[in-house]
Amino acid sequence: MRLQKLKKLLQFDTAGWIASSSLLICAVSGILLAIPYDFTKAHQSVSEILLYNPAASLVRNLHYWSAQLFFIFSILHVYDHLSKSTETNIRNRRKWLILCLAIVFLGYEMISGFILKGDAAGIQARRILASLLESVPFFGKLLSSAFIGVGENSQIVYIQHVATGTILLFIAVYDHVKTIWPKRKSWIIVFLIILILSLLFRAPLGQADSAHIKGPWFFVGIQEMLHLTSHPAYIIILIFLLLTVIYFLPQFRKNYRILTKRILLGTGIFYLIMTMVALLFRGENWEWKSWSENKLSGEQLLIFDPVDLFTSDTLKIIPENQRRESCLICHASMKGLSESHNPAVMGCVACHKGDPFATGKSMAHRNMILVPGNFSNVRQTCGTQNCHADITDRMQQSLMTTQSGIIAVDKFVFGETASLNDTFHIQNLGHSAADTHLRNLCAGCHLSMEKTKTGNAEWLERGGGCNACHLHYNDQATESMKRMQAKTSVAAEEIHPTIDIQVSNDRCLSCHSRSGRISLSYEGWNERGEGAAKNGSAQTKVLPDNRVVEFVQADVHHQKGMACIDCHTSYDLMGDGKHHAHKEDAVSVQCVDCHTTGKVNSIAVSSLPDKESQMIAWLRKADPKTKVVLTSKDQHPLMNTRVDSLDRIFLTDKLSGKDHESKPAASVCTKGKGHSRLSCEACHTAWVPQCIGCHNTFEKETAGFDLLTGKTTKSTWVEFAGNSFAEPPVLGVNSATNQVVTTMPGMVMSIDKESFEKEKGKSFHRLYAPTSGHTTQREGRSCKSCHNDPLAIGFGRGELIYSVAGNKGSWSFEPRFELNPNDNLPEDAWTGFLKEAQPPSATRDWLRPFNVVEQKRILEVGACLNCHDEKSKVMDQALGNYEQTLKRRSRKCVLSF
Amino acid sequence: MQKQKNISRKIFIRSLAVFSFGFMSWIWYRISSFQTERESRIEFRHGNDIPLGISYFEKYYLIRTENSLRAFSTTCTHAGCRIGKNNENSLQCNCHGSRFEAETGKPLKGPAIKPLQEFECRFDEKTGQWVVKLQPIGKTT
Repeated sequence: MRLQKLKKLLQFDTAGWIASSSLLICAVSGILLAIPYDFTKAHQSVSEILLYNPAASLVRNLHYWSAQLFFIFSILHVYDHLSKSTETNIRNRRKWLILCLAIVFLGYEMISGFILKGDAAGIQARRILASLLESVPFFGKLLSSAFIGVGENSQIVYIQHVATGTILLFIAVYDHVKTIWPKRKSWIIVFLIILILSLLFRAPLGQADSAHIKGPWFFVGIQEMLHLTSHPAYIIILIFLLLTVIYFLPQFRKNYRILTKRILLGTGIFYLIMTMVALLFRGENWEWKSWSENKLSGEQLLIFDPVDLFTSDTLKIIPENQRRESCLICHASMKGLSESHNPAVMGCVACHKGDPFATGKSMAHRNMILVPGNFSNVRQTCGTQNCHADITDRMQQSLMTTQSGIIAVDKFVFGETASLNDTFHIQNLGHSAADTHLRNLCAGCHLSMEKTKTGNAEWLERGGGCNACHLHYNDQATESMKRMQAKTSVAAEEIHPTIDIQVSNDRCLSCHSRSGRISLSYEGWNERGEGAAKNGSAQTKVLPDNRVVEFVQADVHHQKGMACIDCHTSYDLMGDGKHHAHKEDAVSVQCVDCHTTGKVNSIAVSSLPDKESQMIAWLRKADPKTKVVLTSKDQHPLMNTRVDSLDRIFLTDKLSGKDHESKPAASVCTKGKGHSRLSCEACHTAWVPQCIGCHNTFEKETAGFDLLTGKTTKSTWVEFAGNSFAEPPVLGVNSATNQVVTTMPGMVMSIDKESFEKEKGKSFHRLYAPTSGHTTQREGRSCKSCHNDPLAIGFGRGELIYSVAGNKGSWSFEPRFELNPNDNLPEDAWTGFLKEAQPPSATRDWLRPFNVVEQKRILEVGACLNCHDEKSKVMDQALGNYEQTLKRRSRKCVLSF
Repeated sequence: MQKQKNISRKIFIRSLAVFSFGFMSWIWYRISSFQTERESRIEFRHGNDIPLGISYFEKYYLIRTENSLRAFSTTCTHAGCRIGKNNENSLQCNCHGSRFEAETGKPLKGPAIKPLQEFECRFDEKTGQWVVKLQPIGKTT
C-alpha cells in the first residue's frame, strides 16, 4: 500500500507535462537571466553573477535545472510514447514533422545554453558545432552562419537560443497538445523540485582558459564518438539517419516498427555507455584517465553550493582588471608572489584548485590542493597545458625523478641486472634484495616524494615535485603561515611563499649531500660520518641528520659567489625529455663551454632554439642581438652568459646578479700532446670524498624504514661504512673517448645476500665511479700529485718508491691498507700495482683504471720528476714534446722500465 | 486566335514564394560569404625578429626553422576546435586528443587525419615585416 502511495506521489503527472512545466520555468528564468547576462563578455558576466549576485545566481540555477529536467523528461516522454506505440495516433504528417524537428531544436537549445556560458568548454563546443554544421553538404555554411554565426562572436547563438529555439519548442508543444499551460498542481510540484535543486546545487561554470575540455553531460557521448572517428561527418549522418527513421516510423509495418524501436533503444543504451565512459574516464586532452585522477580535473555534475539569498552586500568587488575568482574576494591582498604568478592575473585556482565561484569559505576550499606541484597533482596544477606541461613531461623522465642510474648500479652489484645501462624508474621498485636495499637506504631522494606540509622543506623532507626547488618561504611567509595555522591571520597580513627560479644551493643540498656529496663538496665540506668526533684543528659543523662535516676547500666557483643553477640549466636539472641511464648523460654543461680555448659556441638571443630560453630572454628584456653561450654537448643556451664582440664570455650570477668574466683555458692546458687526453677535472679537482668501502647486511630483527612508501618495516638493510677521506681524485680512463677522467670509490662493498635470502651467498665488488668533484681549483694539481702518487694512479694509499740500481730504475709500492681477501688488493685500491684490472671495475662499462702500459708511462714521467723540478725547463719541454726530450736525455738519467 | 494561358493565383503565389525563398537564401549566402571572406583578407604583420620554434597566435601559429617561416591555422582539422601548444615541436587539440607536428602541420596522433591548413605567409621587403593572411595557401582573394 505504502509503495503504491509513493509511486502515485512520484508519478504526479506524465513525463510530457513535467517537461512542459520545466520549459515554462526555463523560459521565464531565461528572461530574468537576460538582465545580468552579457554575451559580449559571457564568461565574465556569468562569473560575476556567481560571485556578487545571489538572486541572479538562483535564477541561473533555475534556468539550468529546468533545462535539464526539460531535456530528461522530453526524452522520457518520447520513450513513453514509442513504448506504447502511440505514434500511429498522429495521422497528420506535418504535426509529426514538427515533433521530429523539435528533437533537433531541443538539442540545439541545450548545447547553445552550454556555449553561452563562455567558458573554455563552451567556446570549443561552439567551434565543434560550427564545424559539424559546415560538414552538411550544400547548406553547411548557411546552417553554420545562421545558427552559430561567423567568427568568434556569440551574438547569433544568443539570439537563436532566446528567440528561434525557444519559440519553435513552444510551437512544438502547442502544436500537439493545443496548450502550453500545464496543470497547476504539476507545475507547482515541478517548480518546487527545481527550486530545491537550484537552492542547493549550482549550475556549472568552467574556467575561461581551462585546457580541460569536456562538453555537457548529455553531449559527452558525442564527444567520445567524435574522438573515436576521424570523420565527424559520420556523426551528422548518424543523427540525420536517426531523425529520418523516427520521421518515417509511423508508416512502417508493425513488425518493422518493433524492430526499429529496439534498434533505437539499443542506440540509446550504447550512447549512455559512451556518456559514462566520457564522464568518468576522460581527462585533459581527452586522454584516458583513472577515476581518481579524473575526479580532480573533471567538472562536477552536482555542485553542492547553497544559494545564500540573504547575504549582506559587504562583499568586496574584485577590481575590473583582475581574475574573477571568489578566492580573490578574501585573499585579495595576498603578497609575496612574483609577477609570473601574480594572483590578480592567474587567480588561485590554477594552482590550488578548489571552487572559484563558491562564496563561502568551506565551499570555496572544497577539493583544494594545499601543496600543489607534487607529482600526485602536478598535471592538474603546475603542469596543465596552459602552464608548464612540457617541463612536467620532461621531469617525469629526469634522473631526479627516476633515480635510474642509482638503481641500475645497485641492481648490478646484487646480480639482478647484467647491464649497467638498463634504465629504471624508482616507482617501479619491487621487493627483491636490491629493491629492498634501495627502499631502505636510497629511495628517499627523488622528486616524486610527496610534500605534505606547508613551510620550507626540512632536512629529511625531500622531493615534493616542483616544490623541491621552486618553493621558498622567506621569514615573512613563514610567519604568515604560522599565523594562518594558529588561525590568527587576517587577510591583510597574508604572504605567500615565492614560486621562483632563484633556486639557492640549500635546495640541492638535502639530496646531494648524499652519494657523490657534490653539494657538500662544492661548498668545501667533507663528511666524516654520523656522530664522528670533531677534529680540533678543522672547522666542523653538524648537519641536521647528525652527520659531522669538516671544511676542506670550497670550489672556486662557489668562492666567486656562483650557485649550482649558474651552470646547471633547467635541461640538466629537470631533464631533456629523454630517459637517461646515468648523470653524465643527463648533464649538458661542461667546463669548456665557458673556459673555451677556441671560438665560443654562441647564439644570438633572436635565434634561441627553445621556448623556455626565449621566455627567459623576454622576461629579462634581453637585447635580441646579444649572444649567449651554447653548451657544446646538447646546444642548450646558458641564459646567464653573454659573449661580447671580442669573444669574451661573461657570466651573471642568477642569485646575486654579480658579473664574472670567464677566463679561457690556460696555455698549459693545451700545450703539446702530453696532456691532451686529460679532462679539465683531472687537473683542477682539488679533492673528492673517498670512502674505503662498506659492508651491507640485512637485519631481520632490526626495524627500518621504506623510504619509497614512508612506512616502517620490521627488517632492514644496514650499511657499515669504513673510513672517509678528502683527497685528490683517483684518475681513470673513459674508454669511449680515451680521456683521462676523475673517479672515486663508487660501490666498493661486500653484501651478505644470504642474510636476505637463503643460498644467495655473499658478494664483493670493487667498482669505482666517474665523478665530477665540484671542488674546482684555479691552479691545476702538481705533476707529482699524479705521476708519483699511488692514489691518483689507482694503487691506493701507501708509499711509491723509486729505486735505482746501476743504470736501471725500478718502482715498488708499499700499501698503507691491508689486502682484502676477496681480491687480494689493498682495501683502498682500484687496481693492482703494475697489474691489469679484472672487469667489472667501474659503475660504468666505459670506465676503467689505467692498464699496465699506461701505469708504466705515468711512472716513467714520475721517475723524471724524482730529479727534475716540475717547473724546470726540461719538464716544460717534455710537456711540449716528450719523445724528443727523452732523446736528448743525459747519461745520468735513469728511467724506469 | 491563340488561346491565352492563365496562371492561377495559387500557382502565382507558390512561384512567388519559391522565388522569394530562393532570393532570401541567396542573400543569406552572400552575407555569410562576405563575413567569411572578410576574415581571410585581414593581414597580420610581424617584425623580422620572430624566434625559432613556435610563436602562437590565436588563429594561427608561426613556425620558424633555420631556413623557413611558415604559418598554420590553429583550427583542428578533425572537428574545428582551437588547438594549443603542446611542446616545442607539436600542437595539441584538447577536445578530442589530436596532435600535430608543428613544422609541417601533419597529424601525429588521431583522430585528425588531415594536416593543418597552411596560411599565406610572405616577407614584405618594403616594410621588413612578415605578412600573414588567413588565406589557405594556393588560393587568392
